[in-house]
Amino acid sequence: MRPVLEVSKIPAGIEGFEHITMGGLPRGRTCLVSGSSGSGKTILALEFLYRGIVKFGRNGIFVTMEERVDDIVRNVKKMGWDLQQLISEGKLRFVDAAPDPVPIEESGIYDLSGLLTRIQHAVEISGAELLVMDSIGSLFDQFSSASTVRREIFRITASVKEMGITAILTAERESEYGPISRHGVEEFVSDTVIILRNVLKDEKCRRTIQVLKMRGDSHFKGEYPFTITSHTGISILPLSARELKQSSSTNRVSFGNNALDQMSGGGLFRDSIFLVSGPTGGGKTLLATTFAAEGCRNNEKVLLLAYEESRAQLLRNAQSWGMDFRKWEEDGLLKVICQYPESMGLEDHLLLIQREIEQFRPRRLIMDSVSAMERVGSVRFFREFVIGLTSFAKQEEVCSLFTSTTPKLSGGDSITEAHISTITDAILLLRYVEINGILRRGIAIIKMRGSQHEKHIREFTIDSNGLHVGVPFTNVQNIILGIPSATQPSEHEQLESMFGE
Amino acid sequence: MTKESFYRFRLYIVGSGSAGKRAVANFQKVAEIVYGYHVDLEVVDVQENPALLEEDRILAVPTLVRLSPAPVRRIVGDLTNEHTLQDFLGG
Repeated sequence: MRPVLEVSKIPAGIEGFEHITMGGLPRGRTCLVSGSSGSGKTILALEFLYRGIVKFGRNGIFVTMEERVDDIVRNVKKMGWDLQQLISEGKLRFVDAAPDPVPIEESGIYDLSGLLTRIQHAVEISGAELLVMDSIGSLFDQFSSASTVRREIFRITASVKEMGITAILTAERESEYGPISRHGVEEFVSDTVIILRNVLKDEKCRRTIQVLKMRGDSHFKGEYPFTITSHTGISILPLSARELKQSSSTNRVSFGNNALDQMSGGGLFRDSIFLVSGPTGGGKTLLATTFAAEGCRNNEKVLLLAYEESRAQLLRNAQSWGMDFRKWEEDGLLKVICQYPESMGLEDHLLLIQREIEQFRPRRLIMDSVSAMERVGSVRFFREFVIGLTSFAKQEEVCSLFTSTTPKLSGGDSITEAHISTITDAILLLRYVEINGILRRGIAIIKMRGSQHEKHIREFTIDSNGLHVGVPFTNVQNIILGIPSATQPSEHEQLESMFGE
Repeated sequence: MTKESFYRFRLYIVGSGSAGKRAVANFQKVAEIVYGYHVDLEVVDVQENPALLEEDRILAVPTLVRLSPAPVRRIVGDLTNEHTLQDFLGG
């Protein structure tokens, strides 16, 4: 028996996995991956082997107890995983323990020494460090003596452990929030238990992964969403597991508007998240466009994600304010992505945005509007999406502007603001102000983390040159609360205005 | 093809185990009842021949494999249930 000196972890090489497990799987231990049918168990287990071999040079063994070897090899070929190649190089070995098409008869007592011997032999000749058994519970379907199977599972897993192998067992479970595994034995032979779920909620399917236990070691608790994509495999979105290491840049970036820069005490911090809230037609998109244009003018790459307007609309509007988005796109400074929020789930949106940020490496990110995403999932998914997005943007030091449309013309709370306002570093409100029967526009900075900012509510106007910030409103209150009302002017002012006309 | 080699069986056992010895004895007893003579039986120790084990995809031990006549069929256990074994050999 190889002595285990300390619990070291080996990375799985699966995106996000090291985050939630705080470093990977404990070396030389057995991990159970349990999930309902179609929850992604086989893919996770296989990716663990594949990455282990390709990224870390650890040979692996896949014991298949359900699917046929040919099917497995073919299924993952479209992800670009050439298992055949790994097999021929001797790095990967399959042990085929899939059920026989002809049922096996039984007479008297037996054990599973055949399977154990085959696993030991495979480990011996390939020098494997990793092993997968998918799924161990199917032995209960192949053999009628449950007590024998139970005993043999204990014997096989003990033997695997003795060989110092890091193993993943998969197990089927019947409900998403019921017993860990169908046969109730699998979790007793495992040091680590990971649960995969595929939950249908609010008409959306959502895959999550949860580390339920990790004996003698720490890990992140809670469910983390993940996706399976056809070319990259599993991506876990660690969301709140991500460290919020606020590097707190002191570099400021301009809004593209002098008055706004002044109001904010010198512009936005380089790594900050900035929320613009306003009613529809309130000037949010113009503000976002101005912010984007300022980036391009300074030769900074800008990624603009539009969820409410079409591409043509967006380019035309920018043009009308004298900003040539088309040219900046050709110059490679600007990337505009227009999408319907409903085109995919929130996890996929997040993944796509992360990929774009990684590839395009923008210095500024604009999302118009983040509130459009509320429609795609439940409040909880939405909150996770926002946290995931903001922490990623911060980590990459992308100065981000999110817009949020208030549900009422006069302002008021929205789901977006309830969930995002504590995460953002700066909040700018755009509001309609009705004074003496005339609709005017107000702008105010209500939060600016780490900096002084102006507390006045200023009037602003929009014309063909863009946004113009004027003087502060006086004699009006409750603009921000949504129901502006005129205050009683002083006698002096009243007299003045009387004689002025 | 002689009559003896028409029926060909392979029995996987763990060499040192008693279940394997019982399986061999039980098989020979019942085979003689069913066929009236000894048939070809190849006894394989799982520890000795991993390649063959892999080829026949053996999990349980003992496993009796009927190689001929086709189709290949299997029965697992120490073959103590003579009726099941008789059905298997006669089927």
